[in-house]
Order: sequence, then C-alpha cells, then structure tokens
Amino acid sequence: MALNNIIIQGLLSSLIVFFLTKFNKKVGGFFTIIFSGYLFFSLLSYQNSAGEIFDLVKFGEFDISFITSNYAWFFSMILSLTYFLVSFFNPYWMKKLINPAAYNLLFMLSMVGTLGVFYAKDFLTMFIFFEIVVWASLFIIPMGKSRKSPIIYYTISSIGSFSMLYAIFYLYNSFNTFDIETISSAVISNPNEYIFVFFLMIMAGLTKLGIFPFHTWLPAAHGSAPHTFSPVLSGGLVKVGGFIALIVTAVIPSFNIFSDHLQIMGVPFENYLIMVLGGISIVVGTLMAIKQDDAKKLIAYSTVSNSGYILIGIAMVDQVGFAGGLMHIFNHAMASGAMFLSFAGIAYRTGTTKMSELGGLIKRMPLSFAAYLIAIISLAGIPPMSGFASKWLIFQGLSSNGMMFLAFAAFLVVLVVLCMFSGLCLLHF
Amino acid sequence: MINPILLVAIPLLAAFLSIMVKKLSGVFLFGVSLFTAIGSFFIENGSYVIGGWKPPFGINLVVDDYSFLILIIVNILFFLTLLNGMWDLKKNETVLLVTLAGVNGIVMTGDFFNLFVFMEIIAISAYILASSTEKYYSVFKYLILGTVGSSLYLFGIIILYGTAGTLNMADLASKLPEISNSVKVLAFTFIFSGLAVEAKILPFNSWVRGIFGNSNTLTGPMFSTVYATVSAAVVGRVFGQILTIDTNLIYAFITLTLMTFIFAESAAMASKNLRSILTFSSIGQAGLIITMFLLGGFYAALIQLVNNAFAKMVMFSIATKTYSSNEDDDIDNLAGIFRKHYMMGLGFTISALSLIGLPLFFGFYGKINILQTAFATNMWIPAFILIGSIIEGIYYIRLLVKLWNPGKEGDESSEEAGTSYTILNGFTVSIIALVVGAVFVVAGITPEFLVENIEKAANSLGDINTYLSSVMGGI
Repeated sequence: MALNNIIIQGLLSSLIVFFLTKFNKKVGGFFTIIFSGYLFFSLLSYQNSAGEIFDLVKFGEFDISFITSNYAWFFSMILSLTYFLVSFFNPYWMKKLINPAAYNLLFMLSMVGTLGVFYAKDFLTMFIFFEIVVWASLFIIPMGKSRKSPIIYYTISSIGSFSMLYAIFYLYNSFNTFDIETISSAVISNPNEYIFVFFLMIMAGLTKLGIFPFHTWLPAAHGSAPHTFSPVLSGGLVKVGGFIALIVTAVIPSFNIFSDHLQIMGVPFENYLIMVLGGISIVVGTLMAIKQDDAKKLIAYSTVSNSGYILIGIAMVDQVGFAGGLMHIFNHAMASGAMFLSFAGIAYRTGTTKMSELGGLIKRMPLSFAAYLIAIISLAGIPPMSGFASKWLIFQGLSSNGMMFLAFAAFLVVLVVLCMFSGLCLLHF
Repeated sequence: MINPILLVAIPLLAAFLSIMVKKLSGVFLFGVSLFTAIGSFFIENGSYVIGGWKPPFGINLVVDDYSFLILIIVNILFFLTLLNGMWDLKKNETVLLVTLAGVNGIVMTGDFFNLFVFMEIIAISAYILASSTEKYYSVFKYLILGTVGSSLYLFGIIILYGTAGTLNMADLASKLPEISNSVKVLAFTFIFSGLAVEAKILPFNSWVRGIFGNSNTLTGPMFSTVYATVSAAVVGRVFGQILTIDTNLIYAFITLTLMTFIFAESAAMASKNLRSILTFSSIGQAGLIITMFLLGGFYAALIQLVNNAFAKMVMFSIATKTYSSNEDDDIDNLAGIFRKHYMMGLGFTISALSLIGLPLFFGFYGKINILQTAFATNMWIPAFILIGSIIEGIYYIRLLVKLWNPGKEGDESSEEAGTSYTILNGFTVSIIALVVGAVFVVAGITPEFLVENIEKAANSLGDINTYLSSVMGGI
C-alpha cells in the first residue's frame, strides 16, 4: 500500500468514524480500533524502505509529499501502536463523553497528523501535519475536566509551532526550498545562520515535549483530558516533539554544522544548552510529581522528566546516548500509556483519580495494579524492564563524555522516582 | 453580457421606485440584489465612459480582473447578508438599495472625486443603518469621525488636483512621477487618513466598537463583510496601484496598520462578548490585509480578504442571531450553545479555524502566502504578524472551547451544564454556514479551485500599464 494512500485513507476513516458514531456510539468506538489497527499494520511494511517519495496533493505552488526513512518508520510505529492500543478503550468510554462523534473524528485525525509529521519530505508538510495534530488533540481535551487547559496547551504549543514556522520561512527565504534534505546540505556552509534557525525550530520540539520553561501545559492538559486520551497525549503526541528535536539536531547534522563553535564537554554549546534544559526538566518534573495528589497530574509531571531524558539522549548525538534516547521514546510511550490507562480503568470503576481517595485496589483490580507496577518499574529504570536499558544507555553516553553533572542529576532522579513510586504503590493500592 | 453601469444604475432606480411603491420595496431589494449578484458574473473587462466625456475629462468606470473579483464577492456577500438579516430590515430597504449602488460604484470607479461621492453615499447609508440599533451615541461618534475622514480625503485629492490638474485615476497615475515628493507626502497622508476611517486603521477606528459591538443581524454582517471588504479593496486600489508610494512614508503607514493588527487582537483577547470579540478581530484583520496591500503582496492580501469576508459573514451572522434571540452574548452564558445548533457550530468553528489559519482550511493557504510576502521585504514584519496571529488563535480557541463544551472547571463536560439559550430563525444561517464551511475545507486541501481568479486579480492590480491602456486607450 502506497504511503500517500494510507494517509488519505486515514483522513477518510476519521470522517467515516464520525458518521458511524452518530449512528451508534459503540460501533464508532469499535471502528477506531479497526482503523488505527489498519494504519499500524499497513505501515509495518515500510521497515526497510528509505528514500521512497510519495506525493499527496499540490498545495498552490507547493508540493505536499512524503518520504520514507528509518527514523520515520520507528516513530510512526511507536505512535500508531500507542493509538492502536489505546483505541481498545474507546468503545467503553463513549457513553461518558459529551460528544463521542467528534472525539472519534479527532482521535483518528490526530493519529493521521502524527504520521504525516514523521513521513514529511519538507518542512511545510511537516508543519501542516504538526498543526493538524495540535488542533485535533486540542478539541478533545475540553471534553474532560477543564476548559482552561486547552487554551494553555494551544498557547504554549503555538509559541513553539509559530517560531518553527518563522524559521521555516526564514530558510525558505534563504534557500528557496522547504525540502529537509536540500536544506540540511545547504546549511552546512552557513553555521552562524543555522544557530538562529536551530533555536527557533527546536522551540517546537521543546514545547511539545514539555521541557522546562514550557512544561506547564503537560499537567494541565494531560491531567484534565478525557481519561482515554491522556495516554495518547503523554505516550504519543509528546513524542512528536522528540521527532522535531531529532530533525534539527541529527537529521540536519548539528554536530558537523557547529563543529567550529565553542564546545562544552565535547558538545557544541547550542546542543549543550538544550541538554541542560533537559536536565532541568528531569529535576523539575520529578520534584513537582512528588507533590501531586491527582494520579494523572503525577504521571504528567513524570512525563516532563522523561521528556528530559529523551531530549538529552537526542541532543547528545553520541552514538550510545542517542540510541538510549530513541529507545526511551518507545519505553516511555508504552509505560506512560500503561499508567494512564490503568488509571483510566480505575476512574471508570471509581470515578476518581485522586490517590488520597483510593486504597486497597490491589485486591479489587489486580490486573490494573500489575500493569501499573510493571510500568513504573520500567520508568524508574530497574533492571528486568526495558526502561533500565534505555536509561543505562543515556547514562553511559553522558558519563563517557564526562558530563558528570547531568549524569548525576539524572541518576539522583532515578532514586527519587523509585522511592516515590514504590511508596505510592504501597500506600494506595 | 451586461453593462457594468447597470450595477449602479438599477439599484439607484429601484431605490427611487421603492419610495414611491412602499409595498414592493422588499421585492425590489431582494430582486435587485439577486440581479447584481448574478449580473456581476457577466460583466466584461474594459473602461466604460459615462456621459460621453472621455477620460480624463469625464467620469469612467473601470472593470479589470481586480474590480471584477471584488464585485462578485461583494454582491454575493450583500445578498447573503440580506438573507441572514431579513428579520431586521426595519424599513431600511431604500437605504440598502442606495448602499448597493454605492458599493458597486466605489469598486469600479476610475475617478478620485467620483470615489469620494460614492464613499459619502455608503457612509451616509451606514449612519442610517447603524442608527436602526438605537445606539445613537455610537452612531454620532461614527458620523463625526466619518465626516472628518471624508474631509481629510477631500483635502488630499484637492492637493493632487491643484498640482497635477486631474482627478482621473489613470491620468494621475501617469502624472505621478512629475509631482514633487513633499506634495506627495502631504496628499498621501491626507488620503490615507481619510480612507483609514472606513478601513478601521488605528488612530481613526474608535467608532468601530460602538457600531459593530451593538450590531443587529443585518448591520453586523453588513458592516463586517460588505463594508470591510469594500474599504480594504479601495485602499488596495488607491495605494497598491494608483498612488504608489516610493518614499519612507510607506513604513509609517505599515507601522500604523501593524499596530492596528496587534492592538486589536489584544483587545479582542480581553473581550468577553461574542460581538465585541468579532469586532476587534475585524479591526485586526483589516490591519493585516491593508499591511499586505501596502507591502505589495496583492495575492496574499486578496486571499485573506476573501477568507476574512466569508468567515466573518458566518460568524457575525451567528453572533448577532444569538444576541437577537437572547438579548445577551456574554460567552460565559453561552457555554455549550453549539451543542444545540450543530450545523451553525460546525460552520462557525470552520470559519474561525480558517481565519486563524490552521491547516486543512483555506486560511492556512492565506497565512503561508502572507508570510512569504512579508519575509520577502523585511524580517520584522512576519514576526509581528505571527505574534498577532498567536493572540488571535488563543481567543478564538477559547471561544470555541467554551461554546462547544459546557461544564464547570474541574468537572467532566456534560449536557446538563449547558446554556438554556437557543438561536431562533437559524435555518438560513445554518445552511450558509455549512456551505461556506465546506468551501473552506475543500479550498484548504486543494486551493487551486478558488485561487485562480484571485491570482488574476492580484496580477491586474500589480500591472499598472494594462490599467492605463484600458482607460487611456480610448483617448
């Protein structure tokens, strides 16, 4: 199946789901499982494909087209798997939502949007799908507990996306193209110009990942979104930010471009600055998480700190650390999805996510408890789980470059997370 | 093919007839408006001499691709506005017919004094229409500012007449290089200030709030779409094509228009009423569109003009309908109203998202063209435009989230928390909202089907020589 057809089918499926849900809520919910599973399995075959180009439409004088690549496949697999797994909750959740038809429509639309971001051939395509993801997910959040959080989400998100848009047009003005590959080879000769673009572009990644100065939207949006959408927001959409960071640091080879600039611990200062922000988010996210009583806010803050790990891994562009960052994207997607979903199950039964009102759930909901336990063990980075592997790789990358300060911050946090989660588990389950 | 003079003459004739045959005035109004809406498709490009005096001595109407596009848009908008506002006509049929004549004239005229006459005609009609909402203080303010504006405009063209000896647009454009810079600066500033009153540019737009913010189902859409489109289009014609500014004066004007954009968007963010939010958004959009015209980005300006006109038509119709049904338009009290009116809600949402410029909607195409044009001239202008559109996005999203999702903060959104308000007589609005919404979506995915005519219009506006030869060729 050609990639452009898959995207078009995804867009159409969102409309089909909308009308099916109008007709019958449960049927619509089941069809989101079918369609997201279909997208997941049809994208599986692109594992070894790279450099294949697919045109979608002509948009005025611009082309909207896709290109396959290994990193895009990796990201698209994580995202579509998250969506696919979460969609199993949808049929049971329909009766609790004010507008199930719109929920299903936007659910599918945001899924297709993320796929478009990953496979985009040029920055314009990437931006278009990025914005589709933003507004599609935006309108799901107010169906949950808060009408203010989507505005916080939109504000922070559009600060990021508009600075990216500015950078995109800045590049277009200089090089007369949106194509990522052409630009990445063109900027190598203009490193000083790229500093400006680098920081503007990575803003979109930072805001989406919820890195330190922009972390406030995560607890607001994830904490108050409908329970079935929080896992998508945290496990899925945050990773779009990771992808943008990957594009600006690794796909456009920031290490080569900045090789003449001031180096700190063997890393160009631009990348180092981003890594420091990641380090701060690790600490801030964890410290804030301890204070929370609402389980969803707690997981949202832990997402902030895990985004910090991901960003450090990606911005380091050290072979080991980079692998760790990418692997952590997968681990965090699965683990935070599992945590949010187990709390969705708890909220489905009990109607609350406040931990002070819960207790003794291990006897009543042993399966949810087990899922939650495995997820937090993985996130805390304890050996038998895959979270250990990814965090270990990030540490190794950090310490082999001599960045002990960041490594220490990251390690300290692991201990805190471990204590906190196990304490919470003992207390409330 | 019909003679474009009929687009002015028939509404005027019908206006006189409607005074004599009061009972048929409604028939005249809807019939004539439908005629001009259809007739505007069938006019041919060229210069039409009135009264047998050839330009530059007589008055002429010019139809080129630009005025053709604006005529079509304006006449369609006028007809749709009448359909929306037919419960609020309040015996203003004659005034509306005169407005229609003035609007068509102002778009086509090829003479600065003639432009002034038509401007006065539509301004006086606007005062009368606005007074039908019985907010006399705001109308009085509008009257004062409007009069000051047209006097300034008159000053400006008198200066030009005194120096160049002509008021014919084509003639003046060809004589412009001979006029000294200091005279140009003075005259252009006067003319710009005069046009800025109707175009809602910063120091002259204090009237807008009272008039737009208190509008009813007829005047709201009428002012925010027909009048707004025409006044922006006139600025585009005058300053984009005829009186091209080659001095630093243009930066003064652009500063004003950009400030209008940013301040108006900030004011909209601070507003709590549906109609005031849309009012300030209209001012802001006027600032943005005129910035684009001044920068020479006619294509981007026209796309945004079309986008804004149709989006505002849908949104203002719904907002004023909401107010007239409930005597209230505080957005907190309206929470969840779209749950009851799906079709209007959908149309409103699509229009708002298109206006913000989110992808999948037509406005996005406008936004990337605006940025492209702005980047070609200056690094700062796109930054300001983006800041303004972040603010714009925030308040529209806030509005949409509230109107779709009732519920207290901290509780799940549910139907029970929804408003008790309803929208009456909403059938036509719903249909129009849905059709406009569908067009926005289709044009957002494949803009080609809409932009071909816009591109032609932009090219004709950028091409002064064709304009000159079409007018002066007959001499």
